[in-house]
Amino acid sequence: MATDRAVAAPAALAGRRPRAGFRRMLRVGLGLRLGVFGLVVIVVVSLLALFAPWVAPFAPEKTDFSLMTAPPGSLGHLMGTDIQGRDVFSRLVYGSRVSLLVGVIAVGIAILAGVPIGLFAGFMGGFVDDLLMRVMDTLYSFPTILLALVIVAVLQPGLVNVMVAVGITSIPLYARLVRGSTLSVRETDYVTAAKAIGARSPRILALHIWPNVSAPILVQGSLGMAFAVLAEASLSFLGLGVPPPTPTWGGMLRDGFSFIDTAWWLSVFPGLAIFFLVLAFNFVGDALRDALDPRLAHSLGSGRGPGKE
Amino acid sequence: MKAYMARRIVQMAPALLLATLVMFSMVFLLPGDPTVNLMGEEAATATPEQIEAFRQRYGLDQPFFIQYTTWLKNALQGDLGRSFRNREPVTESIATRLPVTLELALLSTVMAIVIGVPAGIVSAIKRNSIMDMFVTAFSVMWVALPNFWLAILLIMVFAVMLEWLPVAGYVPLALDPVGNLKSLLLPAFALGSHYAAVLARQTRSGMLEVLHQDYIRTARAKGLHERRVVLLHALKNALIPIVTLLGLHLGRVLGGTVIIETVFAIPGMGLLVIASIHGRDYMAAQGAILVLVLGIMISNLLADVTYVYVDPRIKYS
Repeated sequence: MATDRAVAAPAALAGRRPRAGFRRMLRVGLGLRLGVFGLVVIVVVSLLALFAPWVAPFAPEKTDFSLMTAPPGSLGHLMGTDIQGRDVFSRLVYGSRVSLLVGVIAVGIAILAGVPIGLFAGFMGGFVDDLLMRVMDTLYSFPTILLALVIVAVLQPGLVNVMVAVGITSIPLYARLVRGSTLSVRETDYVTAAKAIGARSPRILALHIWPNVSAPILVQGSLGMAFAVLAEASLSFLGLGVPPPTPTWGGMLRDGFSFIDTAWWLSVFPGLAIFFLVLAFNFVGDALRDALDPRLAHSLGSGRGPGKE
Repeated sequence: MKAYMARRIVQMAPALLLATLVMFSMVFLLPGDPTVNLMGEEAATATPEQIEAFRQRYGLDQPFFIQYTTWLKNALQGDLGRSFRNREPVTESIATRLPVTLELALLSTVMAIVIGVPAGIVSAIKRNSIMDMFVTAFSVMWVALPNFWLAILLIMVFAVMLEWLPVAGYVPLALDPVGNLKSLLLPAFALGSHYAAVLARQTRSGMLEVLHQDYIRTARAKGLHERRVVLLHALKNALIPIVTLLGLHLGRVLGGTVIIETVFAIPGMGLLVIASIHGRDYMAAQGAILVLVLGIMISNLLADVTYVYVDPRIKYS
């Protein structure tokens, strides 16, 4: 594209080329910068979650009926209070615990179940592969939120069930990913060589295949955290997540929705929190991908969706 | 091609069967008496006779397998049973709600394409311009935006502050076409804008990949107008990955209606699912979810089929 224009109008481009080059450089460097930004956000939110009792100025469930829906800034309430006079900032700080916990456990469940399935299917091939992948595809064809909804509806809403539901819905992502890389590694010369000297399957899987398929899991894990945070918030918003009075970001949005015309802060701050945490995990995932696979270094804006989400 | 489609449709059957079996058995896996579970709050005040009557009315006294096969046989004939709450046939409530959801899905898809594809094209032909940066930054951030929060913000700005559009509710198309469009504009945008962002990224990278290929140079060399080169020669090939995304998008939209219809109080399939789950009306929930899953499978199939029309090089066997 640039070279075509250069032929057509070299003079016009002469002045532009350095800037275009500079912008391209900026774009590549930006991916890394955004990754660092994402990491900082994640660390800050984690610290807030860890030290919530020391950070939060008020107890998250402490009601104050003399100060209902007070706007931000009034009497030490940084982000205002909700309909029961509870401090929005304190509830946000405590809510981060649910978001992160659900994310970590759900991604853990998905990896623990999905990775062995993918390894096994890819390594065995044939009928086992077909069967496992058909089941995974069926699971994958369900819209995630719908599947999580069914699981939570049957198991009853609650912290553990939300983790399980979000975890189960993410299993196919890891299974498909690991199967794909296992298939390509299986055919390499060094695996053939290992087989030729008589290595057993578990040894080949652990020593030769696993190190080569593990890196993409890290990337998917970060994107999976973003997805889990979003899914938990969605379920809580629908009233099918972690039940009150435990503060969750999705639940806060649900409560605030009724006062959308009078108390904007109830709808704005929890949403911002979800948005930034999801964005942060996406950025870290993208940066990891770029770092692990230099061929994709231009990936910012290259059009990959972050997995299923 | 016909053989491929036939095989795909046949493959859908076991997946659907599995889905129904899982949904159907879940109620029975719960601890306690399924009848009491299904009656929900009613069970607390009901006499043993009333519970027994409920059990018999819905055939819950039959063994699980008989119940399942009976339900399945009826479902195949279009009868999804009766609601546990209002005794209304589930098929009927789906019939009144499905068109609403389809209209919403269609409108959101059209909006996404109208916004996303041009943004991606401009971004690609003016690569590394301010416009490109803007589109890229927007699309990267937009993907992280929770759709229900976007919906809330849209209501705040366009319905509460500016009062241009209604806060919630649905106006039937036959009753008032303009009011209908107004009532669906915000929900459709909240539902489709995520796809617009993905489309913009995908169109951009697709166009960039295509634009420096030989046949584009040939088209330019033979003196074609740049607009013709971009819109006819390049876009057609850049569209291929976009079509695959369409199938995934439709799946997302049908799943997303659960949230968006709840926010905007639109009486479609999504609201039916949520209301049924909240009311522990498993018969209705199960029927509605089944129809949504079927819709998603069909849209995935359609995406694969359109793939072949856009790119004749792809052969399915």
